[in-house]
Amino acid sequence: MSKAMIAAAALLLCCGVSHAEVNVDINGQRYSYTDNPRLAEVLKPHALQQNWYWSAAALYRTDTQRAEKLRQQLLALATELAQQSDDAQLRDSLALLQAQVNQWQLADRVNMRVDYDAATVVPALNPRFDTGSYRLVLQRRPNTVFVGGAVRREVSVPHLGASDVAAYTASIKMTPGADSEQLAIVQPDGRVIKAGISYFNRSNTEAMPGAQLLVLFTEPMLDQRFSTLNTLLQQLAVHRILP
Amino acid sequence: MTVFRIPFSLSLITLAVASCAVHAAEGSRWQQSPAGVSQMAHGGVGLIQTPTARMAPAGNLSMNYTDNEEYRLWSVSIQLFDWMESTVRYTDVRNRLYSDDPNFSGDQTYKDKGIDVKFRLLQESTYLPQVSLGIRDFGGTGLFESEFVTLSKKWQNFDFHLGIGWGYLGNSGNITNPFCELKDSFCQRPEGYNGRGGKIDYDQFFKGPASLFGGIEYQTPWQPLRLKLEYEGNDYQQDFAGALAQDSSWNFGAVYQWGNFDFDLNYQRGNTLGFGVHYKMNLHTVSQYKVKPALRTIPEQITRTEITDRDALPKALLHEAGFALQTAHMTDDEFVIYGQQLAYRDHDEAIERIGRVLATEVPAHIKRYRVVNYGGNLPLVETVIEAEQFIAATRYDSLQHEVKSTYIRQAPEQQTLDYSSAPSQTGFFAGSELFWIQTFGNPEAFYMYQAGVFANAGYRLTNNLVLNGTAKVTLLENFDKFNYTVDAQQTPLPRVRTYMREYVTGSTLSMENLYLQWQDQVLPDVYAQAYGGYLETMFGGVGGEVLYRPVDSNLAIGFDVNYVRQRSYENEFDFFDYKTFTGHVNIYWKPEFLPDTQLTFNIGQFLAKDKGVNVDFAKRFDSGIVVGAYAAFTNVSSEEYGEGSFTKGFYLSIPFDLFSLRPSKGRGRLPWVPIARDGGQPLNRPSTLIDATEQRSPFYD
Amino acid sequence: MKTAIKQLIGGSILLALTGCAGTYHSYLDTLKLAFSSNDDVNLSLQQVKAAPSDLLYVRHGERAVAAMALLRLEAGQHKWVSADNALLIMEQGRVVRTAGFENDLLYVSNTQNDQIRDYKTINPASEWLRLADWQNGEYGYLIKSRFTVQANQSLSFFGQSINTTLITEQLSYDSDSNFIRFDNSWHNSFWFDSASGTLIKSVQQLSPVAEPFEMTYISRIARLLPAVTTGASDE
Repeated sequence: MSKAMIAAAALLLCCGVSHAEVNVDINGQRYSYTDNPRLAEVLKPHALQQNWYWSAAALYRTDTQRAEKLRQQLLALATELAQQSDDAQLRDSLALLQAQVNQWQLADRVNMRVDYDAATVVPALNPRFDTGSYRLVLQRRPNTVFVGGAVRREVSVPHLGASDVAAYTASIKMTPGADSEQLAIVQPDGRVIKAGISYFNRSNTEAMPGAQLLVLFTEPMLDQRFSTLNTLLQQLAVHRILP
Repeated sequence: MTVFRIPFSLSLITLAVASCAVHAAEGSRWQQSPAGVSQMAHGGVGLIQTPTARMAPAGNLSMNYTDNEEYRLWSVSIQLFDWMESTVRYTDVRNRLYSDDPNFSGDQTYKDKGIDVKFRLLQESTYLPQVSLGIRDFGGTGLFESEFVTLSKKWQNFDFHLGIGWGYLGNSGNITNPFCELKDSFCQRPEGYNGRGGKIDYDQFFKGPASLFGGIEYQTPWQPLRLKLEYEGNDYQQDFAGALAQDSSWNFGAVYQWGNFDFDLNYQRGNTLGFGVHYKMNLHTVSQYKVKPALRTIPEQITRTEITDRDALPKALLHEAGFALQTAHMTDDEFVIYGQQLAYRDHDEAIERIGRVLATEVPAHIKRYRVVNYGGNLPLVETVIEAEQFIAATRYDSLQHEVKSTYIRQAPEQQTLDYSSAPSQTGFFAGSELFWIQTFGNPEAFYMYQAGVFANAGYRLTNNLVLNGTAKVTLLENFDKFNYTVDAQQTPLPRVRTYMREYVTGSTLSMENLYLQWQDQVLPDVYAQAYGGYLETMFGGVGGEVLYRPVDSNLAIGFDVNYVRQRSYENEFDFFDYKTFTGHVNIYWKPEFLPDTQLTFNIGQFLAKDKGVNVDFAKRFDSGIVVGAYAAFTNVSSEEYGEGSFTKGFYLSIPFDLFSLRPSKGRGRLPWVPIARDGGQPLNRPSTLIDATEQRSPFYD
Repeated sequence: MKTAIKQLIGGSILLALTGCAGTYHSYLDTLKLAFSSNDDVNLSLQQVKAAPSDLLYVRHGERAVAAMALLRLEAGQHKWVSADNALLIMEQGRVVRTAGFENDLLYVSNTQNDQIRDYKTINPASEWLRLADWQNGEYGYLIKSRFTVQANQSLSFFGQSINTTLITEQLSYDSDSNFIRFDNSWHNSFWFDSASGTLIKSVQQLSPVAEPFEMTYISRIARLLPAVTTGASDE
């Protein structure tokens, strides 16, 4: 809770000081625009500094509470499920998930492709920024994959080239109540894909470098709430700013 | 019967174009998807003779031909939902004649048709198998009538199957029917079928001998090749083709995938070689490469203050948006266009294209565009576009640049309609269409066809009043092979449809219809029409229809009443004595719990004066293809009805857009009517309001 | 009994298509488009020289030859754009990224060790290894290359021949496939003008399952050809 308050305070501070219409933090460097700029204009000073892996480039809004609201919703649901469960192991799993999600750094991810070169030639990929504050994260090709969700400990493991996500299962320590049949893959470009990892449903789905592999909870047939929990988990992971 | 019209000759070429695109997408991955499920001999997902619990991907359509000595089977199997598969089939029994009478059917071999369904009851999970329940060849005269429950469990590249079958699939009785242990009535399977065939014989289900069957399908390390091993529960002693020698209950097979084709080869009964060819496509994803004009780019600054070139707007609307402008009107801050959408079946795409043209062609101070879409003379939908928001979205002036949120669809406002005194449209019009009628499974020849032209001409007297006529010119046919025109069945019903052969074998030039028609919007959301004359091939008379259809509503309700007299098939203009009132309350409903589905109920009196309801179920796939089925239940008993017991049919409606490289509208309809006689037959009205007002709450597109 | 019923199936089974006349025009168009041979771009030497930016002829798979224009040369990369806004991004003539194609190449690692960058130092014994990522969900595929050099290969443009050095790149796709494949090796070709060392043409297939790009640096060629013959070669 305290974290959210600090974030909100910081937000007030930033908006109180600046009169600029659009503020963008690109990999720690801050820019202000009085006119609403287009994406290519914002990217220009940074686009050529490195050989960026554009598929993992992400834009977040930092002055809305959407992601934080989702987090609170997920935490509340996990608490509710834990309170009503008489399965001690499941309660532990939910507590581990809550601890994990509390650690996540979040911002409101803007669902769009960020690619400097494409933005310079395709008008649809070069939209104008709406007034507000943003964070733009550019990175070189990541070499890890993050494993989270219904796991004992969140880990990052080396990305495996040309490999089905089932190849990562050895490094995943699932908690009781975890769904061992499938994983949700949150690709760094924001797409969420489900992939079978059991002996009967392998689907040859690969994780992009920098992807998150989410272990979901088994969905009991009569309790819709675990399915809601899984949906919230996937939605929230999209809004994560990865370490 | 139904009207049959097509531009037929072109579809083959463009089908080939469409399937190339599918190959390219699949071919661009290094890791291949397993070849997936395959079709059994009878059609539907399975091994060789036996079904499995597996389902094809939703929307898959497979056309199959298989051959195993005595039987040749043609089938089409459609995965309507991911939990439901349906298959229709023609069987040719090679060692049996069509009839004992050579004068009737010559040396043609025996033909049978059948329908199967299979439902998935449980999806596979770590410890549980997939479970499906199916009924094969239900509906009376089927040669392969069976019920089955089957389980499938996958382990890596092996798929194991185990099922229990009753009827044809269980003829060997390799186990005791479990239901027989519970109740004696299940120990014997009743013979024959109910009524006059064509009905579902529930009273036979799960009765008589039962057998276990099963097998393994193995996806080999070479992606296109799958191997099959099967143990079947039929002993071939009760087969229609005669008692067939069975040296083994084990069957073996291999399936090779080549593009959209599957070729299979198998060895059945320990003594028979069989083979099959299967073509598959997906009704959700099938698409066509399109050649379209580029979307008009909207400049950062719009400076236009007045319209200088009066021709530019209609030209651009037609070429870039497929919109035929009839008239336009400008107020202080609004610009209204009236016309018809001729191309672009996707409404949102059409509106975006229209909006982009308007944004660059009309003065910059205009705040709102209104697009009034007509169908014929009927104003159907008004789309109101907020210009500023639309321009911002199409210029990507926001991170959330959704064009769809910048306009709304509504019923045309009276004020909007009052702006324009639409120029009265009077005068002659004409057109023509090809038609192709084909019929399968006739005694004279399995495949019979008739092709020609419907030449249509008319005179529009006022905006709402039209005189319409259609001549049918037959150019090509083998209907002259018909060796009877009226069947020999005794029927207590008036022959309202069973003179059909008389009508279609008349002269090569005939008058299809000739009638006067009035149509108008009489109240907001209410449309009406009246018509009189020669209305269809078999009937003439007068009638009227009213339809209440709000914009984008899931429900439309109306009724029609007609007083008609049967036309003579002996000449063009005379009538027979038979007269009747016919009319229905019509309910069209798109239920929310069944996505992309429309249910239609027509409740009332049919042509043979029988009363009841016709129920129509239509499922739309993402490509726009619609698969439908209908059945009429009236107070005619199956004995009175005759062969088939009641009227039913199936149809496939295909958007022409899937065949053409340019965006287009319009559809082709492929009906399949297994048997139809005189009961439950509606009048084929020359036009229906539900079709005329399709744009109000589109189901098809 | 069954036979008696069968006798009547005949006249009642009808299968047909219905449609409307307005679609004929789009059908005729479709036929015209289906049978018209898509024309390759073919500019005259003067047109090429007059072009405001450098041009590249590209044939992708079986498609017609299209011209792409040099959009920018920045950070050591040539960025070429097509009329329909597809991008080819190259380093020293090697395609390292595509955008707007059916299955885009997202990334190639280790490009600085590509031996094509300096063909004069090619050692047939040494290998170049890199990883490729693909838009359609395949990431980290290992590609291995070896190069061989053949001097004095003559190519002809605008009716004149240019003496070139041909570098043949023998490639293999070394990542495992889930099914047996027989197509994991292939070759690419690069032609350098022998006199200036400029790359003037290449055929690059980015993966065994991708369609090859045949690329001709038509503007570079126009600059290489002697000016005196310009008029003669123009048709």
